[in-house]
Amino acid sequence: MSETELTSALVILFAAIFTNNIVLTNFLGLCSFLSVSREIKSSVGLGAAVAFVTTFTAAINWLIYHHLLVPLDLVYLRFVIFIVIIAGFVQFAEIAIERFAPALYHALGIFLPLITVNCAVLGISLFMVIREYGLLETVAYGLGGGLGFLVGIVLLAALRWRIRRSRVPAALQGAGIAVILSGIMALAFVGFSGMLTIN
Amino acid sequence: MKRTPEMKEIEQRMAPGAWSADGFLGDDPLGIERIQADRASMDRLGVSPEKLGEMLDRLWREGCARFGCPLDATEGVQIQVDEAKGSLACPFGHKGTYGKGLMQVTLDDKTLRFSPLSIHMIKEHGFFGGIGSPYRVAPEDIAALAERLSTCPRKPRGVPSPGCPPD
Amino acid sequence: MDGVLTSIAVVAGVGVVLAVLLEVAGSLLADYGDVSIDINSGSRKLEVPGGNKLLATLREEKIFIPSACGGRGSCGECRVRVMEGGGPLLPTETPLLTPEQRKNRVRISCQLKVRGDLQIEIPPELFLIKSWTVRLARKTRLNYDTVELRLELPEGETIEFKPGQYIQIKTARYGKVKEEVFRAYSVSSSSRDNRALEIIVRLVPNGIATTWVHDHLEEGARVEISGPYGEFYLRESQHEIFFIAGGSGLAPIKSILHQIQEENIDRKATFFFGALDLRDLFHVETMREFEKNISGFTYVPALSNPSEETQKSWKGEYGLVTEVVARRAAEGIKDGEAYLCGSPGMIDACVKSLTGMGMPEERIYYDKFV
Repeated sequence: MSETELTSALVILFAAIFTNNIVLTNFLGLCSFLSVSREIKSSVGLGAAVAFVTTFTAAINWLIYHHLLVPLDLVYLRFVIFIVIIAGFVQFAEIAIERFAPALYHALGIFLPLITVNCAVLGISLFMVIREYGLLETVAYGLGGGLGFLVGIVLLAALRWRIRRSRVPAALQGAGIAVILSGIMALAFVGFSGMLTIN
Repeated sequence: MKRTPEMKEIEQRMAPGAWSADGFLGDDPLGIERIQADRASMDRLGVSPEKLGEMLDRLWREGCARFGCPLDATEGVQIQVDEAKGSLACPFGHKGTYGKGLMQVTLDDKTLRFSPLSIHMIKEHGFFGGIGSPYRVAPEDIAALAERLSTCPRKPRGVPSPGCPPD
Repeated sequence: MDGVLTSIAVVAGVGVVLAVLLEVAGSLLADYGDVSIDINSGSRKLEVPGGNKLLATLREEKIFIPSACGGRGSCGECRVRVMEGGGPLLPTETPLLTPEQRKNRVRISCQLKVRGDLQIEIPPELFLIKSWTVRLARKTRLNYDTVELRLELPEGETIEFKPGQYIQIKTARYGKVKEEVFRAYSVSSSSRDNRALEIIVRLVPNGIATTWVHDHLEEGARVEISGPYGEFYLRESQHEIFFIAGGSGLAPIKSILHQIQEENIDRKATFFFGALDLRDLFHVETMREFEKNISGFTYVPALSNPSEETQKSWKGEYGLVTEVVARRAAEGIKDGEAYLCGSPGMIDACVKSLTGMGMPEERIYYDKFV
């Protein structure tokens, strides 16, 4: 692996967390982001689970895309195939978590299988295709994207904890204030732009 | 309205046949969101569910001491408490278990029905039951009950039928 | 055409490969193998397949932990102390346990999955509990809201129980009720009749089990029961006996009265039965028969909310049962023994009243079912 490849991968990793955060820059994966951020502990758990899924599914999808779909000229099948791979992998993650971390399994509840339809996960695989990353860059991007989701959701959970005693107007309680906070966080993250660039 | 998985779970527990025979939601089209609608009513009436819950707890305790015999609380208000055995957890996943039983409070010509669990759900969750559920009590009715109890003098406990003990 | 076939093949192929991988992973990861469960520091050791909830696993091994909700996590009765193994406390268990219980390693066995070796502690009486599928031989209406069921055991089976104990019956699905539950009912028949049991069931509004018993259970039906359970039975002593009950609380006391009659137990006994009005009374003739056949036994029903009609003819006691006890039994209480069966409120009030009259709390016995 060449030096430029490694540097590129590292840049992509950090950019995916800060400047091109999948949930704060691209606003993907908002369903579980807004719901699970009510509690810090489950946010950490979900974020970690998402990062686990994104890293592996991005890599597997890269392999399938470049070694199966492209040679067979079936690129248009990428949406179907990626979703199937993600669904299978999340199912596997569910079984593993239920076995090794049952408390986390119960705490996440329905949100674990919901990772399958989390746009952030599919988004990372599709971006990897659009941006024509190599395998190492893909792994870095998968990991970084998942970690970016983790950072975003834990930050939002912490903010919601901070404002728990504030007098939020009744109409904005819950999802309303969470979306507003996310918007402000997104603006704050814009401050990172220019630090690193990935195309 | 989109439900979070927690709300779906709660609604499932409240369905008829799940944790109780008739369920707690009746045939209310709003389902669990009846809580929001009732909260709006309570804001308008200026009452808090915690205070209403505390009053109901007191009435339950007073009624219990009569082992099913009715009790006149004040003008036009009669309470009858029948306890049953067994306990039930809270469908909201709240800590603790609650006894079973029926408290019937007659306010003039209206009969309001409560159980220890329904009183807890009013006090801690602002849940008054879905429309059509046997334990549904409209916030307006409980507020009227609270009003009556605070304004009219409490009877020196005892049911006015002869042969029944004053206590 | 080629392209269509290849795309179908690829999608199908990927799906199949994934399915196979998941199957393999599933059976590998979900296979907990056989685990050993040590009960009560070695008094019983089980080798069972892991992966199921503790309550169900024990049930398979014919160890019946009491449960009312049938494993749905809503009653909290299936408590078991898990000394080792068991893993972290689940969010579905915490609402049902007091901090005291959590410190004592009490777990809710219908929520806890058996993943590895366990060391548990259960009350040793539970080893004596068996289960049967019985037949409803007779359903008798006792009054407007109470029925009596006569349940016959299968050919050749017998049940041994102490008068005063209870059984659990499993309800069936009916109407809108899609789940089965277990409910406890005291046995009201004599323990000498060991091929059948009678229980008394009072209708509870919105109650899953009592609605089933009253409206859907028919003679000839098969019912699953387990038992006997409970610490409520007649103690051997010479103290005067005070029975106090209301509603279906009459059941265990009737069973004990059969015992007193059959064993010729020579102790003075009075049964105070609290009811609202005449229509709430039942088994009155049975009690009068006991009065005839048991010397020293008196049946004292007390009406607390009699109608004007009733008052014209009622010659018995009026008032709340606690007051009637105070009126009629003040002298004997200090040296007596009390057996209470009724609602939690009634029991609390009676205990307070009895101790206030001088009866030591150790001689007051009750089944609170809470």
